[in-house]
Amino acid sequence: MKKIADALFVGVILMILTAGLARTVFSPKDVNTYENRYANKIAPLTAKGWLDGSFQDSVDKALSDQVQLSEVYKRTYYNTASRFLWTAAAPILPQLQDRYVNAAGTLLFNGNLVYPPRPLSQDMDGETAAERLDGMADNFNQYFAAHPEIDFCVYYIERDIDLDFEAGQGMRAREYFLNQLELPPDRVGYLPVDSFEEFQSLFLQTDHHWNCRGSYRGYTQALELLLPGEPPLEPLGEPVEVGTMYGSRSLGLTSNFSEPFYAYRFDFPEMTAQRNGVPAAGYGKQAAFLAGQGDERLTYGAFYGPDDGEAVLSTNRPERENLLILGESYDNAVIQLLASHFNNTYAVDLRYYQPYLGEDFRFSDYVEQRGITKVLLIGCMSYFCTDGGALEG
Amino acid sequence: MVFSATPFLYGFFPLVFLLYFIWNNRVWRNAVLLAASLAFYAWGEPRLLVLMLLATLEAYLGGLLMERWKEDGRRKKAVFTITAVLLAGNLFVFKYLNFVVNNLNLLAGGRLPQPGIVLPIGISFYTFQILSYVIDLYRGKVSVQRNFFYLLLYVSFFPQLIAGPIVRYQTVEREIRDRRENLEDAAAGLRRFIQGLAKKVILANGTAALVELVYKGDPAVYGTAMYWAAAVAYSLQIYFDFSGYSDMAIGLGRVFGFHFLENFDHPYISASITEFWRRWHISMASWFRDYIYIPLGGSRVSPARWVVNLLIVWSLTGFWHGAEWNYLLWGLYNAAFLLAEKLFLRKALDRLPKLLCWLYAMFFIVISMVVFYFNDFSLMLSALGQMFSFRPTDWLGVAAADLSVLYGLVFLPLGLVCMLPLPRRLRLGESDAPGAAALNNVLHLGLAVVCMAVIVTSKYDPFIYFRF
Repeated sequence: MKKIADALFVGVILMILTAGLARTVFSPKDVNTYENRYANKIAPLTAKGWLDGSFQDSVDKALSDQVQLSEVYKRTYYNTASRFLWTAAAPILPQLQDRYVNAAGTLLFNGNLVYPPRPLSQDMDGETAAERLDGMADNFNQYFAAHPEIDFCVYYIERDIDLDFEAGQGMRAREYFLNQLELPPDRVGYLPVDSFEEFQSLFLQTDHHWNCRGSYRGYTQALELLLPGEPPLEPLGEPVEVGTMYGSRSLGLTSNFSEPFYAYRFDFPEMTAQRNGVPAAGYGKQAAFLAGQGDERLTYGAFYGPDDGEAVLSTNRPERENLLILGESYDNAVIQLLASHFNNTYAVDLRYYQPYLGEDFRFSDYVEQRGITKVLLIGCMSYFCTDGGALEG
Repeated sequence: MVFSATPFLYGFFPLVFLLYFIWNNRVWRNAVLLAASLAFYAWGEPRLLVLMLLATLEAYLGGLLMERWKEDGRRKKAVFTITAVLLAGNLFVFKYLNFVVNNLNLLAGGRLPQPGIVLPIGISFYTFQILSYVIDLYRGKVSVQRNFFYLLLYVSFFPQLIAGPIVRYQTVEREIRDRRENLEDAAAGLRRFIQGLAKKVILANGTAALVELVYKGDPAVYGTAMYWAAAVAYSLQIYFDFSGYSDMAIGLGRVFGFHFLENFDHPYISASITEFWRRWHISMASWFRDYIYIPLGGSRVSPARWVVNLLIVWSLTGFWHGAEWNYLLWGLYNAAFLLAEKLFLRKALDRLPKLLCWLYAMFFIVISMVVFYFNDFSLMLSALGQMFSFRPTDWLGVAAADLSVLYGLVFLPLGLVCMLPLPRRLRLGESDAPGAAALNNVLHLGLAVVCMAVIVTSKYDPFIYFRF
């Protein structure tokens, strides 16, 4: 009996371990659905990779993603750990109102999962945030000067990192950056966040992005910069609850945080779409989700549209101008709204342009070839602090 | 590669197990173990593998020459001395030269160039193992190993290669050539491995989080109570970390038919510092006893010389852990208590209730662990100052600084319970009742799954003894 029990024990353990290895080596999956990213795979074995340890690292990461039940392990672990943490913390959280509360790297402020304020002096890989902003402003100014035929507009989105909610003190990055831009004042705008209450009303609770109110305000203000006097699309009534959303900050020990996701309905004009060079049914799934037919987990990106290298929306009204939007994920929520006012709208995210399109982004060629007359640079402090030039990628 | 990492668990171990048991031939099985052990080391230290090979070759050639001149005492001694000095010199250069140069520069104004030598993983462990072979051979306690690959297997055998226990050649001399693997040993070895894995990834890493929060956090936030909690947590962390690793090493050895000696025996139930050192890192303490303390004369010398012997041994013990002054201080701190207990405290302790003796021992052991933790003396003094000058704790501030401090509510009590020899008391796994073996295996499987979940998920997995 004991021999059988021991044989089974050794056999089961070996089976679990070898199955994990076999899956990782021979049949790795492509996507880690729990963490919503590409799954790690083992890198090709080379002498250099072995000596510098990168091969070993890739094996470690690949196994963590690929072994059987890895996502179940992660989900169970974080669910258990977060359930315990927030149950234990429940009695003290009311006493921590108006204070930043750190939960293993994620900050909580009055129920919102937020990022810490980012001072201009903060080090970012050897440079301060101010130096990064200086570099970006210089870069922008060069392009403004080189392309007088184009109307450039810049829209800065203030968010949690621009304000210390506890101290009520602004980080002044927006003023610092925008004041360096050599553009007329009517081409520069921003979404102000002067208090936590304002932030709360304009941004999602479990995600770093703006909510429907924030993005709609951003859209109207950006439209005023681009086409002064042009009436914006009006929402069809008050925001409606689309479903429950676990935002990008609801991960790990905060995976139990969720919020109702609200959105406006709009009567968009007819548009055709192209994503990353390929014709697409549309950008985002607003209509489907609003009709209760969303076929994927409700997230900011799933609803408004994902981070593509290039998204092109066309209303097929050649009398209208062509617009280029350069930005990051914040613009996902306003692309379709802005596109309603233009003939062709090109939204480029330089983080993904080269990986998706397979070529470098050349600003001058791009605007010339597409007949672009207006360019909107839109983003938050993180975007304007990106390392390297913003208009090439 | 560490035992609690996915490459070991899902890659290295099952491959080696299968390749090993495919063969029914001792030579091939040893060849598999040797190749696997070298690959294991090369996984993390591909360039420094050659250093271990050279050190082993040095001992191998020294051993052959000592055997050749075993009747010529002078030559034999010369070979032994040269071999031992070369091995110790190797350890000195790779582990201590940076430290010596730094300190000489501090004293002399920074003229010597920094050697910038990288510390090879496990160098202290494998050097001590090689030295034990050389010394025991010189003393005639073991026979010369004429097969270089067998000696290399002894030195590099992956279960004990990088974090011990320090296995003596005597212990495995016979088993390298002739051992019997069986299913019972394989199952028992795996169970022991899982116990060690659980100690490491659940208890050591769980308590470590509290230590990191307090010692790397803002000192203004944490008051006296939290500094004591962190000191206790670190004492538990280092115990579960190292004893967990030893359990895994002993278990793996047993899977492949080797029987290593125990390295820990529930040290935190000790009622004195002397007893603690009979239960803590036994392989290291006995190494220093047998190869340093006793050759120096041990306690059979004048009282003054005995004190000097103890101070020498404990200074070396301290420095063995690392080239930092705090390790020396930690060694001398222990020496002071051992001396005091031998000279006068023992009698007083004998009269006290066991609980008070235990409290005495734990109090000073926990403090010693704070000394062990901090390489930076100003931080060490600050932490000790926080422990001994009462400052109230702003509990809300502590929670706001990092809510995960609340995990301490789980892991500290759990660690305190698990440091006790409860499983032994409950005779878990030793029952002959029908189904007991199956239940024991199921429990261990469950524990293994929990460990896998933590390993696959968690990114925080430091091994303290890895760096020694």
